[in-house]
Formats: sequence, structure tokens, C-alpha cells
Amino acid sequence: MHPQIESGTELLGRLNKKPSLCGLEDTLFFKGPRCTDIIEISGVQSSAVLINTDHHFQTSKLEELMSNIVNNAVDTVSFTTDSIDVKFDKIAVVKNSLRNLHVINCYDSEQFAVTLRTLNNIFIENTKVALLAIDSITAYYWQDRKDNHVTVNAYVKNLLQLIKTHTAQFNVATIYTKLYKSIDNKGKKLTDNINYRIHLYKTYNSKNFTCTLETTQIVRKIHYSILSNGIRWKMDEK
Amino acid sequence: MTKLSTAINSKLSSTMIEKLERQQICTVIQFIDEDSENLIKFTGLLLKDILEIKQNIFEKFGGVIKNAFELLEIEQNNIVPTNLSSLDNLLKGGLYYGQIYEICGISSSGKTQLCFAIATNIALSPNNIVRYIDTKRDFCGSRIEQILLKKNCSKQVIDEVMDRIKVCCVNSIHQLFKVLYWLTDSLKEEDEGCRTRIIIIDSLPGVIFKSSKDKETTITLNHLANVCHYIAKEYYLSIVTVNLIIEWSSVIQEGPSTSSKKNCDVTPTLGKYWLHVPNTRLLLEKIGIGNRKLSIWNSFQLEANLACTLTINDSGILFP
Repeated sequence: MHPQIESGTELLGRLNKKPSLCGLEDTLFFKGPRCTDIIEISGVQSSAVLINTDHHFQTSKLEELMSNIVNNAVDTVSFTTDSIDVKFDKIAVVKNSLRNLHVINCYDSEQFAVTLRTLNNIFIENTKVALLAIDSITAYYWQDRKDNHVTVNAYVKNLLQLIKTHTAQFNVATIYTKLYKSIDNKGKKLTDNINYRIHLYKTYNSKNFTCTLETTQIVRKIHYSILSNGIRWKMDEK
Repeated sequence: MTKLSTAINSKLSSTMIEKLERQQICTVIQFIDEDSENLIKFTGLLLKDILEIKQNIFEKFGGVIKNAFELLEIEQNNIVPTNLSSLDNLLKGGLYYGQIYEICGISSSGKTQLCFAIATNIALSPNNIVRYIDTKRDFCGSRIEQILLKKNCSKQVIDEVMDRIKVCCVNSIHQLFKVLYWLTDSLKEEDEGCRTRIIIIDSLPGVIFKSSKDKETTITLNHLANVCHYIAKEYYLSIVTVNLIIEWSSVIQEGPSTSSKKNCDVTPTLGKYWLHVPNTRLLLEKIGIGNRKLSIWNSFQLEANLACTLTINDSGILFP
């Protein structure tokens, strides 16, 4: 082990106890181009930051989704208590969960670049943040490409490097979406910047969704469907 | 990329900027990426000042962090009903701010008529201004008047509604950007009591289809998407675009039997990149004489394939 000089913020980031992200998505912990929304539905008292570059995210959609999840959960437990109380609690659960989500809207490449560099400050101010979500990382690819010819892969790699320098010390997990599937990724090992790759696709004109989960150890295929209360994974297939 | 300027912080003088430029630090991003110790050396400023300038850059050029709970409240207070009841049902109450809606259909399927009906209904409320960007010189004031007359509106009401529909003709993508950039400034001046709720761009292929090089078009569309998102989100309004569709037909031979099935793949124009830009895409199709089917083609928020039927006649669009 070689000695390492640590700045005050680094120390703070290291010592700050982060809320656990356990239970976020048991099946894999997922995020896809279709539902940015699923990420926040944890009851684990942690918060998340969403950098909204594609603007597919809509808060009322998220609220609807969360209400459905809460309703389902309540139904399965089947309370015998006063129904008005339960209704009130359900709304409160959703509202409190929404307070745990911070959204940063970005509209161009420069704003996105500056925002990524402010992440340190954001994490220091909001110590409960345990997840950074970016939807999507390639939103300004074409705008940037105008001045600088670069492949999508190299472009994403550069941004990940930047994100890593701003998140690593804060124990914040990063999840991002990218629109373009790169064929040359096939069979290629995950780079050291990515721990999981989740590729979601659907057969044209059908409701069959398939997900390929790739980690450094395993590759797995899982079928899933999108319901009003989020995603249901079909675990039978290995 | 924004260059360093004295406007960022008064402590950053033009001589310092010149010195920084000699060290290849020209833009705000290069400034925040540079080690603070080096910046002290180059500018002669104190560390405190350097950090302050960096903070100024973060605030001025970075994104604003907002809480989802507050965003939900703003969203729910800014739903604009089109007062076309079946359409409002499809859209869960009306048009939501920050959203780009796209109306697709073949030519003469009634896309412009639907835009007229939406524009008229929204402008009927004295609090709402409608911006109509016309790329085909199709806007027809007398048609709007006709729709209003059928609603038994008085001359005064008709005049007021017409006044609240601001029409602007553009001939090229360049002009479209000019108008949108002009809006980013002029919308600031609007009064909360009566402000723009919707911008209709009828139609995008009218100015974009002409572009020849594929990559150039994608860059342009990326730029357009960014500007539209900015206006829609920051000024709490929605944008409706009109687009055409292409039918790709392919004949598939099925088995040994001689029967062949005709398969039509329908896609919106403007290419692959634009596919995922609008939040909700509506498809307008002719069914029989005068009747149309309006369905949710795809959407990030709404359930796809929900549909309603409508009729186009003198009084505009009718939902039976």
C-alpha cells in the first residue's frame, strides 16, 4: 500500500456513511432507456440525483408508478386498520420518496460538462445521495461530434472517466443510459469503468422484452415485461 | 463552448484572461479543470478568489438541482387541456409542460386541421397565448374564424382569440432556429397572467427534409431537440410538432402456399435520431370518409395504442 494524500472533501466523502442501496432492484439492479423512473423507488432512506439530458423523465409518471407500487404492496399485506389512514399514508410515502430525488435538467453539452464537474459539491451538500443516474449519457453526442470526430464508445469512455473522478470518493453508484447499441461491444470484456452492462431490447411490434445482464463474471438473459407498477422480471430462464 | 470573460466575476480582469489564454486556458471548462495552484500562478489571484470564480462558473453554466416533489407540483399546475375531450382523455388531462408531442400522418390525413383545433381551443382561454410556427405557409386565418363562428363566438371574442394565436412563417431551418432563439429571450418578458402555453411547429419535414447530408441532419436535429427541451421546460409550455410518415412495404412469402402477406412498416420521417426525441407521438389515420383515427403511437409516459376516432368538418375537429 502506498501512502495517499487525501483532501478534506475526500475524507468527508470517505467517512460519510452512505445509505445502503440494498433492495433497490433485487433481480439485478436495473435501468433502461424506457423507464428512467424506476430508480427512485427504494424505501431505503437514500436519495438519488438524476441528470436529465434526454428529457424523457416526467415526474407525474414517476408518481403514478410509485403509487401503483405502494398500492400493490398495501394490497398484499392487507391492512385491517382504518382505510383513510392507509390512504393518507400511501400518499405520504410517495411524496416523501419524491423528496429523495433530485433532478438536474441539462440542455446542452457545455451545461452537462459543467454539471458533471459540480457533482462533488452536490454530494457534499446532499450526503444521503447514493445513486447518480444519467439519462442519457449520449444526449449531446452529435452536438459534440460537430467539432470533434469521436466514436460513441470513446465519447462515453471519456465521460465515464470524468464521472468516476467525481463520484469515486463519495461512494456513489452511477447508472446511465445510452441509446446507441454498439455492435463492436459484443464479446468484448467490460472495461474497468463499467461493472454492469444491461442491454434491453424488444422484438419489433411485440411486447416481448429481453434483457442481457453482463458483469465481469456472468452473462445472463432475462425476460421481462413492463407493467403499470414497474418492471416484472421473469426469472425462469437462466 | 463559452470563453472566459470579465462578466463571470469582476476579479477576473481582461489582462488575466489574456495571460490564461497564453496558457491555453480559454473556456470556462478549461478554467475549472485547471489546478487551482496553477491558476493562482497564472493570474496572481488569491486561492479564495479562484474558488469563488469556479463557484460562479458552476452556478452560471451548470444545471440547477431541483427536487422531484416540487417538480411534481409545478407539473400538475401546468396541464393545459385541449378541450377536445377524447384527446384530453388520451393525454391524461391535456398537454403537460416540458413535453414534445408529435402528430404524425400521411399528407392530408388532417394533421394541420388538428393543430388548428388545438390552437383555437387553447387560445379561447384569455390566459393562453399560442405560437404557431408555419413552415408550409398553410396557416389559414379564415379557417380559425370559421371554427370560432361555428362555436357561436362573438366578433369580439373571435378577434381576441385570433390575436392570441401568434403566427410566424419560416422558410428554412435557419429561420426556425432564429425564431426559437428569439423566443428564448422574448418569453421572459411575458406576463404570468397571459403567457405562451404551446408552440406548434407545422411541420418539421417542411424545413428539414431538404437537408442532404445525413450526419449534418442529425447534428441539426440534436440541436433542435436541445432548444425545444430548453424552451418547453424552462417556460412551462408544451411543443407540438408535425411530422410525416413513410410506409416501407415488403412482401413476405409464406411457406409452400402461394399466398403472400403484405407487410407495411410505418416509420416517422426525419430518421432514426428523431425517433426518440418527442415524448409522445400520435398517429393520425384516415378511416372511411371524413373519419380519422388518432392513436398513441409511442410514448415515454402514456400507454401505446390507445386510440379515439374523430371527424373533420366545418366546425373543426369533432370527437363523436
